[in-house]
Amino acid sequence: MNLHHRYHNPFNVLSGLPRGMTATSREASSNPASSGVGIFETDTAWVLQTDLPGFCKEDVSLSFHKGTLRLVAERENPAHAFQSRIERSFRVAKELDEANISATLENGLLEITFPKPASEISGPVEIKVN
Amino acid sequence: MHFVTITHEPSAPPTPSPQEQNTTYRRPSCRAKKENENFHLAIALPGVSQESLTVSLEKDLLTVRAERCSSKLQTKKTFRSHSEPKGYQLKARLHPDMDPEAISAQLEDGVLTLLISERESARMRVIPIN
Repeated sequence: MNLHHRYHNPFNVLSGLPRGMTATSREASSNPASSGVGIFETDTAWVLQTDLPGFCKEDVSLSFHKGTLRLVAERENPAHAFQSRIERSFRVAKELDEANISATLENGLLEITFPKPASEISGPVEIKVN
Repeated sequence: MHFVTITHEPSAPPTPSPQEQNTTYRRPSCRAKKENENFHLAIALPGVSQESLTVSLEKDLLTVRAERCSSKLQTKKTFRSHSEPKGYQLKARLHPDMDPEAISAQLEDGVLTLLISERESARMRVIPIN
């Protein structure tokens, strides 16, 4: 897998982000569904967060193939007239534990967790003495 | 149809920089429409739970204030912040046709929907012809 070390950011955005990464408050408030993406790191994972107001778990489809995460959120006839379809792709430029990618959607906030492989986890590793 | 007037607090500080937005309240995006005898006001509040939301009405001034729940994960490093605000605040003045005694609110999937009835006196009456 290609390791991309620019700014050490594990994600490259392919499409679907209308300058969302640097969205101003005005842009964000005029279109809540394009209010950008937050990326942060914990000791054991990289986490990608994005706002999906008005979407429930059943409306969202996530897939990961060849280092690219694809997010499609779609709902029919939203009563609130916010965006009804969002499609975004992210290229993950870090090695990760693909089998254990997980996501939660709570109160319109999607959080995707990409576990780091054992080789990326820094800090002391406890060794069991048998 | 402008039946809700968003007000600006005179003492409100100028628009904060993206760095400052992490600790401030942002005006949420909202959509309004009228359907039959009801006014619908949808407000996008991603990341907000019912416990951290307050909706109040003083005379004709509607105030929505919400704290955004941050990730439960222990962040080590942030690569890219989506200018996540601390919360949301909206002040809106109701139209005289709206009945302040007949307002209901529902929070679902990060969208707050306020349903406000039209005043009896503002409704269209069919005048019988004798």
